[in-house]
Amino acid sequence: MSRRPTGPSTERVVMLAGNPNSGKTSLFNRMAGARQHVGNYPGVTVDKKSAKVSFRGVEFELVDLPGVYSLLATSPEEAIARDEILSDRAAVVIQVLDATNLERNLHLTAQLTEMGVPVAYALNMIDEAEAKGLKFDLERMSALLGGPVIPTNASRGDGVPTLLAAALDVAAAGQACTSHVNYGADLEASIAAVAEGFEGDDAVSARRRAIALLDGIADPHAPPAALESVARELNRLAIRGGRPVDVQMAEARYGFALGVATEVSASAHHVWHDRTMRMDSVLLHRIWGLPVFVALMWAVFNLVFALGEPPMQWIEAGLGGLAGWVEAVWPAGAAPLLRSLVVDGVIGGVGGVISFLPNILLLFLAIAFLEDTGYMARAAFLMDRLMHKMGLHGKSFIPMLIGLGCTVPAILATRTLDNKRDRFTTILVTPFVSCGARMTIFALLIPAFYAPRWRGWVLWGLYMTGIVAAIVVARLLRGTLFRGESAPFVMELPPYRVPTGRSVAIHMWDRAWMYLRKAGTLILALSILLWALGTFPRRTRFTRDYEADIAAAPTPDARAELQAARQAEALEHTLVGRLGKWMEPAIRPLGFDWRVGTALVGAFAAKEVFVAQMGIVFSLGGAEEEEPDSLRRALRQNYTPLQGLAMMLFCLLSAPCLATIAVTRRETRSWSWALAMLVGMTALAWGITFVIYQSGLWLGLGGA
Amino acid sequence: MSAQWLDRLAVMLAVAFAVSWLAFHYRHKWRKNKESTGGIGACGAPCEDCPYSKDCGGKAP
Repeated sequence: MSRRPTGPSTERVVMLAGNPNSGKTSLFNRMAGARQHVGNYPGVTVDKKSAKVSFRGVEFELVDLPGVYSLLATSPEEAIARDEILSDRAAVVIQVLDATNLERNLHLTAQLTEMGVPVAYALNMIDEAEAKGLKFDLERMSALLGGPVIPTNASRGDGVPTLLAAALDVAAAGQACTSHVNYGADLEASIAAVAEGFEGDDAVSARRRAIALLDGIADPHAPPAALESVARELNRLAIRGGRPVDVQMAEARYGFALGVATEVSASAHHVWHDRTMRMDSVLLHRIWGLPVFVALMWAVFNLVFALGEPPMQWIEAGLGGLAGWVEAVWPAGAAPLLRSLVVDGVIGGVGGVISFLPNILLLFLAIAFLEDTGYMARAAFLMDRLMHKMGLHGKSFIPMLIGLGCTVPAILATRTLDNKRDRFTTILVTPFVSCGARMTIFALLIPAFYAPRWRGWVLWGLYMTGIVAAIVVARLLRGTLFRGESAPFVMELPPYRVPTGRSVAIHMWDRAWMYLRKAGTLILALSILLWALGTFPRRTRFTRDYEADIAAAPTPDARAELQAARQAEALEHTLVGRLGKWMEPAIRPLGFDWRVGTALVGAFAAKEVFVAQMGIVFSLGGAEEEEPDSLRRALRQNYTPLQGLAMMLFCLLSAPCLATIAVTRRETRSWSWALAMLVGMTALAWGITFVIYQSGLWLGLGGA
Repeated sequence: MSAQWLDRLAVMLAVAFAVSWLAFHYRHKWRKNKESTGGIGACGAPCEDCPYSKDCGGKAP
C-alpha cells in the first residue's frame, strides 16, 4: 500500500499532470472554476496554479502541474512536476492523455508509473479522436495502465464528474499504480544492481532512483554504493548495447507506449506516420501478422540447414580424421579397451554432439538477430493475442520464447506471473517448446532421413508442433485444473533497428561457449559412463564361432557382415543392451529398437546425450567412425524416415531433462507436479508417437 | 603388471573419474537448488543455474 494521504478530506491534493497541449489546463479550469490561485513555484518562473475544490462533499486541493513530456528533471518544469509528485502530498495524480496522440502521451505515463503514486487517467479530446476514426478499449487500457481511464472532453466538460469521482476513489484506496515499464534483460539487471545500493529506500523508491541515475540524472543524496554500481553498470551497458544508455532506456519507454497504444486503440484510417508504424502495419496485421511470423520461422529453419551443412561436414571430416589418426597410430592390439574408450566413447560421443555446433549457432544467430531488430517483441505481441483467445496469460509466451534456448531459465522466468494458476500452467507446458539441446537431436536425424529441400520444413514442423502442443495442453489445464481469469499486462514494442554486430557476436559467443563447455564436461562424463555401460560385461561365448567364420568368409562384404553381427551380439550382452532389450517391448510399437531406447534413457540426463549414445552404440556396433557422415549413414541403414520422425516427435514431446524436472520441483515446491510433468509428458509423447507411427505404417509409409 | 591389466586400470580410472564428476556435479546442483539465496535476475527469477545469468544477456519478460 502507498504512503499517500488518505486521511481527512481537507489534506487531499489532486495533481493534474500531462503533456503540453493535452487539454490539461482546460480540464483544470473546468474543475476549479473561478476559485483558482495563480502564483510561482519557489525560486523559478514557472506558474503554479492551484484551487480548493469541493466535489460531492469531498474537499481537496487541485494542483495543475507544469506541462511536460517527461519527468527526467532536465528542465525546471520537469523538475517541479517530478518533485511535486514525489512530495507525498499527492493523494492521486490525474494524467491527462491526448487521445488524438496517445502514443506520445504514454511516454510520460511510462515514467509516472515508476513514481509509486496512485494514478487515474483522463483520455481527453476523445471527440476529436473518434472523429479521426480512432476507437479505444477503455477497460483494457485501464487494466494495462493500473488506474481508471475516463474519456473526457475538457472544453465541453464531458466526463469530468466521472473522472473526479474515479480519481477520488483511487485516492481513497491509496493503492499505488501497479503497472511499470520493463526495460529488458540488460537494463533490468543493471537497475536491480544499482537499486541494491539504496539500502534505506523501499523497493519502488530504490528502483526509481536507480533508473534516474542510469538515465544520467544527478542524485546528490545517492549513497556511494549506488554511485559505484551505476558507473560499473553504465560501462557494461554501453559495451553490450552498442548505444548510449539513455537512448536504450528511452527506447524501452517508447516500446511501452507503442505497446499500450497498439493494444488499446484501433484506427479506421490506418495513418502510419513513421517507419516502425509502417512495418508494424504488416508485421502486426490482424490477419497477416501470424502467417508472416510462421513464414519467417520457416525461413530461419531452412537457413539453419542450408548454411549449417558445409561447416558441419568440415567438423565431421575433422573428427573422422582424428578418429582415423588415433586408430592408425594406436595399434589395435595395444590397450584395446582404452583405445575403444577414446575412439568410440569420447570421439564417437562428444564428437557427435560437437559436430552440430554450426546448426545450433545459426539458430541462435537468427533468434538474436530477430530479437535485436525488435521483431521478437512483435512475435510475442502476436502470440499474446492468440494466447488470450486460448485463455492463457500473454506473459506465458515469454518463458516459451526463453525456452527456445533452455527450459530451465524459462521455468525460472515464470516467476514474473503473479497468479499461481497462470504460473503453474506455464511451468507445465514450457518444456513442449523445443530447446537448444533438442535441436542437436534434430540436427542429427533430419539430414539423416530427409532430402535437403525438406529439412527446413521438417524442423519448422517440429517447432510448430511443440508450440501448438504447449498451447493445447495449457488450454486443457486452464479448463480443468487451473480455472480462472488472467490479468492483463503491457507487451512492450521497441522500435525497429539494425542490430549491432557486437551485440549479435556476444550472443553467439555466449551460446557457443555454453555448448562447448557442456560438451566438454557433462556430455564427456556421460559419454564415458555410457561407453562403459555399452562395453561391460564383455561377452566371451558367442552363438557361433565368428573368428572361424570370418576367416573363411568368401568376400569382404560377407566378412564385414559377420563382424557387424558379432559386435551386435556383444553389444546386446552389455548393461546398455540388457536395459534396451528390457524396455524394447514398450517402445517397439513406436518403431524404436533397444538402441534407440538406451539413447532415450541417456537423453533424460541431457538431451544431447541421445546423439552421443547413438554415436557410441553405432561406433561400438561397427560403424566406420573415421568416415564423415558415418553415424547418419548408419541410421539410414537401420531405420526408415518414418522411424526417424517418430524419434524426433518422441524427443520433442517426452519428459524434459533431469535439470528441468529438478527446477520444476523447486518452483512448484512439490514433487507431485514435477512427477506429473515427467509422467504426463512421457505418456502424451508415447500416445502421439504411437498414433503417428502406426498411421504411417497403415498408410504404407514404411516401418521397421 | 601386464599390459592387459594396465589397460583395464586406465579405463577403470577414467570411468571412476567420470562417475565421481557426475556425482559431484548433480550433488552440487541439488544443494544449490535447495539453498538458493542468490540474486534475482532481470526476469525476476534466481540467477543460479541460469545460463543467461552471466551479464544476464538472455531474453527477459
